[in-house]
Amino acid sequence: MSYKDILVIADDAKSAPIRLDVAAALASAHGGHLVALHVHERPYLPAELGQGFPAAMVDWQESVMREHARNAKNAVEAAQRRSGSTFEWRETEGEAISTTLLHSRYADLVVSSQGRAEDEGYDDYVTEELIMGSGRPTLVVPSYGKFPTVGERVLVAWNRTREAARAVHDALPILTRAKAVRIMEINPDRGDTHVAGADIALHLARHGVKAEAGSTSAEDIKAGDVLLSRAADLGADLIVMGAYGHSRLREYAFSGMTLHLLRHMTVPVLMSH
Amino acid sequence: MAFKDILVYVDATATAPACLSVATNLAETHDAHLTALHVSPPPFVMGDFGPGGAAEVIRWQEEQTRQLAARAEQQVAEARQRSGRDIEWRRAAGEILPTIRLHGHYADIVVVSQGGREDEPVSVDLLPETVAMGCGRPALIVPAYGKYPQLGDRVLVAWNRTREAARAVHDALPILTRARTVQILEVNPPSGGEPHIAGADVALHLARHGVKAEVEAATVSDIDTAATILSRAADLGSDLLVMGAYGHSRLREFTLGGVTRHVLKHMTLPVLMSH
Repeated sequence: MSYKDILVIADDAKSAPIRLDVAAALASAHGGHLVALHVHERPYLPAELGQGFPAAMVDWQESVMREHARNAKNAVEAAQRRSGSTFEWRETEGEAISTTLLHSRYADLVVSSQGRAEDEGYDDYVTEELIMGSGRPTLVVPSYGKFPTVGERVLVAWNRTREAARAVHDALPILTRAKAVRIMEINPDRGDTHVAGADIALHLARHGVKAEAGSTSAEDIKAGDVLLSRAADLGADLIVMGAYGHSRLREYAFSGMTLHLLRHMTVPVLMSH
Repeated sequence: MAFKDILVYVDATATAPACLSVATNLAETHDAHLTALHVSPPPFVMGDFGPGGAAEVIRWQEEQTRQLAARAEQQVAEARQRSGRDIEWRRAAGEILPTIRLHGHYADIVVVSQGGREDEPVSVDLLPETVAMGCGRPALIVPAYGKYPQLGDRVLVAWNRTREAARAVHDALPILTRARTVQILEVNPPSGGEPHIAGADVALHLARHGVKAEVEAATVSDIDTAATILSRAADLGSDLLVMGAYGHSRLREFTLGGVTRHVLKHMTLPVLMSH
């Protein structure tokens, strides 16, 4: 079981080299085909200006896009040299979110960046839309930092929901290769006779994953902090968790924990919805 | 890539043996652990039955659930005999749908009956949709009538480039990689300006997983989509349909999309659905 088709978002944001390197390392570990996707949006032509829209404006927009694409491609080529992995460069035109989502559906895993205001050039909506709308797991890479390994020591956040079930199963190719997998159930139900996380550990064992189960409690508002803090204590290089939220018109309303991780993640996080 | 942990819901009705057969065959093909689950709901009393009346109603209900559980366990024993495979019997207590949903999280795939037979009033309402929408795992839904000794040899995949279809295709990979033929039906592919052949990208992606698939396109008006898919499955002699399950949850229920609802009601072959 491995990721055969990995898609990574290619742009010229500051976070690009970090994300490209993580994608290359995963592709190498799984023997997967790696695609770097760059989407140009078509030049914006305000309808009200109609015929009179200056050609110079359109030309200018197009040249800006060409420059973004050139920089994105340079970043991919640099990552290729650094890693020794081959990227398929895929440049396409269309509305950014819907085009990215479309391509994501043909991948086993999508790699995107956390996206923060300081990460110039990164479209943070892309990550949110991918998590909720691709139907594939999204590996969200922090915008800053170095991640020489991803998936050697994994912390799985488990809470017996469909989203967590999705994330765990999506992560199986990583979990089966990991050196250490720790399952953490935050606030397990009181009065349950089973050991927190034990059923999921047994299920994972059937896939050849040797996992340790544990639990912890935290007030709801602190659950995200507790998770990050445990990850640090354990020296985890990857967190696996379900992503919770629902769509609200043009945005997604994420749960507290999902939002907290998106904002404050210190290691890559594989999220599924 | 294989299923390692399969869950089948055994409801003690006439549909259970077919579900058990499908589940044991799947477990055999994948050398997977198979768990047969039956849930006994807590008794409830509605209305006034007079002094001691409530206790009597509760006693009666508990006897009914005990008998059902015994019948389910018997069905599992018979399936063990027929298949020669070990099946873990698991009887759980609780509200039926939430309990099945919970156990479903720990499986690779959940086998359930389409249900809805009028001659089986005890079958669990809304089971297929609850599993497909709520487990975060694929539901393998077995029609309420008929036997399905062959499943996954000739597969039809209904593809429409949505997240749900992506979920279903990837969930079905362990079956697709073992199938003799896989046909991808892209319903209403967009026309104009799209240079790719309908479904071609998904065929290429599947090829990387070792699946050799053929692609065809169908253009239908909205109301005909489900009928077109089922009719194509019949024409092709498909033994499994793979498709996304569409809808959203409203409090404790699910509101399903039209195509999903139609297929659940009229399926003539087993269907793997994911959300």
